[in-house]
Amino acid sequence: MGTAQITRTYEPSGLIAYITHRNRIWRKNPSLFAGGVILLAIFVVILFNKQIAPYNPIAMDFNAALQAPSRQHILGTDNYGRDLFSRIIRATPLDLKVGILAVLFPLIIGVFVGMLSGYFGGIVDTIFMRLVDTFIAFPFMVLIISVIAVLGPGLNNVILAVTMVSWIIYARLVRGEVLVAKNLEYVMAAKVLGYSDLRIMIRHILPNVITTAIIFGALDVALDILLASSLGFLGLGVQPPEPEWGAIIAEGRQFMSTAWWISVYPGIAIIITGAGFALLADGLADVLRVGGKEG
Amino acid sequence: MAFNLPTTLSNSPANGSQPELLMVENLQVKFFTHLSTITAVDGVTFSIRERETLGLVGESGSGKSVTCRSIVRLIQRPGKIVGGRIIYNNRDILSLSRRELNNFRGKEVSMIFQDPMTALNPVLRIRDQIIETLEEDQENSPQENLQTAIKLMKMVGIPIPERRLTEYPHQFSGGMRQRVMIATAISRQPRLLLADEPTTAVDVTIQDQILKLLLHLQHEFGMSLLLVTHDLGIVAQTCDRVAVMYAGRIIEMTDTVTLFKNFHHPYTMGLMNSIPTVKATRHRLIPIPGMPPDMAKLPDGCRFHPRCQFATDECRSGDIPLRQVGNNHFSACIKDVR
Repeated sequence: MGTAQITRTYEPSGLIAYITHRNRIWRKNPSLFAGGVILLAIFVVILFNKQIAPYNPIAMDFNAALQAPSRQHILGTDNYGRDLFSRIIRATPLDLKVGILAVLFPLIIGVFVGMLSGYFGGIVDTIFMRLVDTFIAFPFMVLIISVIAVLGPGLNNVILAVTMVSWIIYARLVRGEVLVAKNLEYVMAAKVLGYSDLRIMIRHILPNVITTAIIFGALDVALDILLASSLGFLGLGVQPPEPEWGAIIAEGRQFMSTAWWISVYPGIAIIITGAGFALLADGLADVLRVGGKEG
Repeated sequence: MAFNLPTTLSNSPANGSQPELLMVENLQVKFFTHLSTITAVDGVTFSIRERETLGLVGESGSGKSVTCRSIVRLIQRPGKIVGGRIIYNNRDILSLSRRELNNFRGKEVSMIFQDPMTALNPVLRIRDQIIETLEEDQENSPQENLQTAIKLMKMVGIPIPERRLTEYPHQFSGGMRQRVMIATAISRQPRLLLADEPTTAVDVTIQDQILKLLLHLQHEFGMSLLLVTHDLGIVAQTCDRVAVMYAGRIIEMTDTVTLFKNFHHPYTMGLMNSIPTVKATRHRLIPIPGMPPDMAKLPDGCRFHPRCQFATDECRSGDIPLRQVGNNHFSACIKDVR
């Protein structure tokens, strides 16, 4: 029994040892950790945005117009004297709503269509894929703008327009994965065991193909926030005086030389959010692969 | 022939004492591509009796796997079964509805595949994959299903089944996965098991274990077995009867002993000559000259004639059908290499 003590090694203890231990999540999957922390922070901002914002985001105060960042207005004010920090904070739930919903709806539709198309092939596949080709033949942005032009500007219409256009990406992605998966032997085996098509699709193929779509979706959230901001910049998104990051940037454009902070700070908010989702996507890619990176 | 026959063949008699379980008649499977239409299986006829092991032998592309998959109607686009009948227990498999087919698969006929690495779903635990098949018969409680799963795992020789059931496929070795696959395939006690090259992807020691396991289970459950392989050694070890396929057709069919001792077709002779022996009486193996034919441009007459040393004008022009050359011995050759 005495031999056990001989093999004892020196284990560093304390805070540094805790932080640097290789089993900690930030050592094992730094992307997921960083993305998670950023998104958690954003989530807190969304939950408490009324408490965090020091001013009313739409209250004008012309005495305080175009003030540089100061102790009173930490990110400065815009041309109507509205506190920029409050506006950016209050815009967060809105932009995130667009980002997430404009991914969730296309994801669901795309997975559904892609699964049917890839699994059954033949005439179903031909019909869906020609539809997809038609959408792809159109420039993405032009299509969205024309859809909004028909439906009218506004947040919900932005989500609707993006859904109508971007499900094709998920459909193609999932279809490709299903085409590969359906010829794998485990799907054959499931067929030979007498399982129904529905069961094979949902239980055997879906979990194997959804990963790619989810990872792409996490990246797409960042792109959709940018898109919503671009539409806001064009005046097609959220209508003033409601704050939205892209719209704020657009408003600040004419004051770029004198009041740079109006456009720069919401830009940074977009970058942080986008980076958060991109990092999360990267981290998820490692986690969702069963028996993947680890080991 | 310097080929050692096994002293004991598997349990069932090779003569026709058992009733026929499956009859395949004049099966034709075609693959339609943009460039050409390929007849992968052209008029294949054979039958499997109860408790019998039938070997389906041939090189790659000879149509043996396609024949095997046709039995469970697993031919996927661009392939299609265009002719013939498959009769299982007096039921025509080719005319079953979708629902009937799902009841037939797994319960009556099941199949194991070549590659154990891809034949299990990577995202599901072994337990879920085995129990899922048991849930198809909805009489049992989840607890009973779990017990059955443990029993099955023991039966296929997986140690500590209780723990291993909770693991994922990537935690299993190739041989163990093959065992798991066999467990799922036999879980509903099918009467016919199709084995599509079950040992090609595992190394020889495991190969031997898997074959022994299959024969043991066959005996235990009284199953019939269709063994698709390109390895005549495996055939000699396991099969009661053998059908040799070449270019989409059966060219010789008889019981295993006759095939090894008294083969009739030159192609079979070529296969026999290319089996290495332990006694090094020959220095070189004699390969069959030439290549298997392009299935899109099949030669006229006997499909083997361009590679056959005995070919005559008759072989080059006329179609050579399978004919009886002995007791339960069929061959598609007008010559006799004996």
